[in-house]
Amino acid sequence: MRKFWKTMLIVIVFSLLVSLVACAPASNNTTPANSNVSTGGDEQEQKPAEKVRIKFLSLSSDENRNNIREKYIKVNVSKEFPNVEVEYDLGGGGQDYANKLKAYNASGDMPDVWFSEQNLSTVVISAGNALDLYPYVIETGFDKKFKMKELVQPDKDGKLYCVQPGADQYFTPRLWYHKDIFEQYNLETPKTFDELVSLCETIKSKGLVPISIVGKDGWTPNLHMVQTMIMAEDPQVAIDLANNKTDFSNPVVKNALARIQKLVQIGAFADGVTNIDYGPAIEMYTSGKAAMLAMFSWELGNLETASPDTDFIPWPSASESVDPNNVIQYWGAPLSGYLASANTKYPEIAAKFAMFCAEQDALYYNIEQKAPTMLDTGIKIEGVSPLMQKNLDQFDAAKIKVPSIWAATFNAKMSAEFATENSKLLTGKYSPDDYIKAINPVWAENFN
Amino acid sequence: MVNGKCRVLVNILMILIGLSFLFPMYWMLNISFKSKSEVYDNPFGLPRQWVFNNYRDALEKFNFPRYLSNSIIYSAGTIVLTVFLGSMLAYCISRMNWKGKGFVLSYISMGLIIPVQVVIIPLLIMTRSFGLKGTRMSLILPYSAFALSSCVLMLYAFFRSLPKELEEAACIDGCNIYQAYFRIVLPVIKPAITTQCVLIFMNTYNEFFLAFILGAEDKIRPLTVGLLNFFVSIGVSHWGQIGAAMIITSLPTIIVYAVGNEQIENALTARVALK
Amino acid sequence: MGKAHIGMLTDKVITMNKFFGNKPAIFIFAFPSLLLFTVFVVYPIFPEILISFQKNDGFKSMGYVGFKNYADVLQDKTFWRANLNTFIIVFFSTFIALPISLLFALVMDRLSDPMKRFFKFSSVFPAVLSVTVIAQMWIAVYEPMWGLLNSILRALRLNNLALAWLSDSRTVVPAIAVAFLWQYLGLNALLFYTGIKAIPKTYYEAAMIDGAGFFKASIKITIPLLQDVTKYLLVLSILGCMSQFAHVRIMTGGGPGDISRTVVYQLYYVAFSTSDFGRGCAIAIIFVIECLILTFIINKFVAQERIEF
Repeated sequence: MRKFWKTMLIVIVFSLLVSLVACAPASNNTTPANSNVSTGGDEQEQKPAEKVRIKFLSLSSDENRNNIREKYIKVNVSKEFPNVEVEYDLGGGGQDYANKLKAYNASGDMPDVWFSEQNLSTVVISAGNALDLYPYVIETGFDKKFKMKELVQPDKDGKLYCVQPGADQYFTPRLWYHKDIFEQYNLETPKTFDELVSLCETIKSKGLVPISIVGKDGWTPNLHMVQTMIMAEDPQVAIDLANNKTDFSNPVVKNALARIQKLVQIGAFADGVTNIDYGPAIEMYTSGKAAMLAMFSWELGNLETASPDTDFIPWPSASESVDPNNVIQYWGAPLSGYLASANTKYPEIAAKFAMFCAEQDALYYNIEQKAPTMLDTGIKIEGVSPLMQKNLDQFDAAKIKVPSIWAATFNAKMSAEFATENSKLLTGKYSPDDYIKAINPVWAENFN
Repeated sequence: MVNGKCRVLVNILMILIGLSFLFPMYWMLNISFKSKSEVYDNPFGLPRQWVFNNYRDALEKFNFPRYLSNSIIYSAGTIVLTVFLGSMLAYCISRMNWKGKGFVLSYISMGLIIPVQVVIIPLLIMTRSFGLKGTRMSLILPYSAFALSSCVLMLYAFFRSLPKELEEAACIDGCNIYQAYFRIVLPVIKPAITTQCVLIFMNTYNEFFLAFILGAEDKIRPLTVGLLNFFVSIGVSHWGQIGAAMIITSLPTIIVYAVGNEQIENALTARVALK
Repeated sequence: MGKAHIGMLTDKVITMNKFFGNKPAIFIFAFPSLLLFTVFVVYPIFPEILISFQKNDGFKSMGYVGFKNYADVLQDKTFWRANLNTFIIVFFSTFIALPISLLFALVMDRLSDPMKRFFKFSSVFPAVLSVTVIAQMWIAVYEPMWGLLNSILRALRLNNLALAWLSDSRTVVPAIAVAFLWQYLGLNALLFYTGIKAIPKTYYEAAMIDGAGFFKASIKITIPLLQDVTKYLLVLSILGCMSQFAHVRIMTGGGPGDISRTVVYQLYYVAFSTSDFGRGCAIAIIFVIECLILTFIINKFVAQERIEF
């Protein structure tokens, strides 16, 4: 009996110990080892040894983000900001990061500088917790470094809350195809939507999947296909949507949805497409089971390596007035990037640090990824493949550039509901009218 | 009268059905030795080419030891907390004299009707405000609270079946109630406690919903969620690795089941047998 | 029996009463459990009711909106769809899965010992596997191009039956129901079997003399005497079906779109994907009411009498 009680006690103590250890919070706040006492004592004597402390929150679950922070920001910060000590807050990723940021926002106590995507940034901005960076951007001439001026333009209130490297803006959705397969069956690349439809029917009759897309949660329609179909008929409608000047009952939108429905109904997509995730969709193309792939150009490198016979065409148009080569949908959002807190004690330093981070970000993309950025760092990118060059050339030549409505304008609820509706559209049994009826009320509240 | 032919037929049928329940085991093992492409071409036959590095690759990317230890911590923690507290409450209700013990019994039974999913939102808010978010206690405490109901009810029935002489003898020996409980009564109901341990373990080890929402951080993730994360983000199109991960995950439970399946079956059916 | 003996008995009663009436002990024994239970099971309902009347994004409340959340939820087509799906699963469980388990149990009773052990072992096996593993396995079974189901159908030349089970709005909910219920078929059979074992053999012997075969004996004797077990299993399985989440999340994510959502999934979607805790709590409260009503119905209409042998 004594033994039993003893064992119980040991078990309880052990579990308590374990849970005490386990109770340590999972995310760490590391104070960095980069204290700024490095530069020569003489220079320091000129300024009072007052060190400014700022807090910087960043993603830590993403390879790219981690590399940018560790290899570029941390390394170069002491050179640019000798009097500043940065405290790095590692926020994890995905929903955890979102929750952390939202928690800071609700308490009003934001870090001095942080990174966030569009839909999170809007939450902070509408709470009044983001700093207007525009005066500092103009003062330091930061805006002159951008090839795409829209990225550093103030919004309708005259405020600029976010600075970014502008890497995203080069990403555009393309229709990738296997040159080998097209040659084998004597197929022509389509220039109009109707040609695309008959091409798909031909490919299907040969036993292949015509177009591989990511159907899970409606990913491909969400991120580009709906907008692509709208822009194929009239790019201005897409621009109007982005500016909240029209809604989904616009006939051009309805036609766009009907086109996607038609593709589903003729079997342009694989069976069970609504459950096909990102990896398997790409796999389906690279393994040759699908003749074409609808995907953003950020996969160009991987696609080229896996299937050297890959080429792309810009998305076919659905109206004679639209030239496919002249219209580009680009990824990225005006509010995805680095922001600063409206309540920071050091607004000038915070703003400059945010711009610094954007530059480091751009350097990373230029140097490590050989990817171009809208922010000109002065680095020349060498060793670009012909396919990538073709992609960039066509991108630069296109005169009408429309931002991604999904990335740039949707709030959390709109994103979730849009995804739901697109997923239903991909079943082929859901009418555009029902879709429009369901989505318009949510759209009406999107810009609140 | 059941004639011979009929009996043979029924036996064959039952064997087939029984085998079909074991099918997942065969299938997981099978694909874990196949290459990525062979899974698509030959999903259910034996591998034409035996591939052995799926396991190594999966282990590299799938932090099995951490997720397993988390799962075990949750199960063990919940068991200890629930059994310790629940048995005391059950004893108190069944043996001691006090007003309102009938009410308390019905009160605790309410836990059987409320599924845990109902209170997930306030639970999330509470774990945030108690500062428990991201710790393992954020899961152990709710698990224990919800496991209390069935634990208390089962132990209550057991306690009631014990003869009063037990405590009388102890009292004569000069024990107080604490000593009587811990030294004499508890050991007697060991079989019931073992049963409860098995039941709580099975419920907690395989729990998904609470773990998915409250235990999402990688450090405190249990196997159910960690495995899903592996399927969805890393192994996602490599079914060979998915199969390997599934086998690795199931190995502990399979071993426990193979060794102790009699006791497990007894535990699972105890509630029914008690009636 | 002398006066002394009676005195001793009364003494004993008094001491035992003192022993069992030890107030501090009662408190120490009962309080921790009750505290844990109240804090995590009972108390949360109250803030939940409060939040269901607010507009709340998960981080702060933005004022009270009366019954608006409830009105939104009850007018939402998706919510009713989710209820329908949940009840389809409940239906499958009650009228297909449980009878199958019962049938297994009845047959098991007549099998020889080795067969019994084999069947018990193998049929309970799926229940010990992780739900993630089982759901993933069924994804492979239902895979349109190389999955087991469609491979078998194509081998039997039934190609036009080889549908995309998890993408077709007609089949997705039954497909999920099958995957979910399959795991517990054996376990429920075992539970029924335990109840059957408790029935004294004398009943069957009497029946055999009267010339009753397998089916008659089962229907007239076994099933009525299993009422208690049946009720227990009914409550357990129905509550389990109502709170089903994992399989939907893993196999289809509620998809395509919102077609295969269950009530709990809809709760999760509204609260966490659209960041609307107010409506999420409203769904939770409605869900609790549904569970209570169901439990009440089962308790009232099934197994009225206590079974005594």
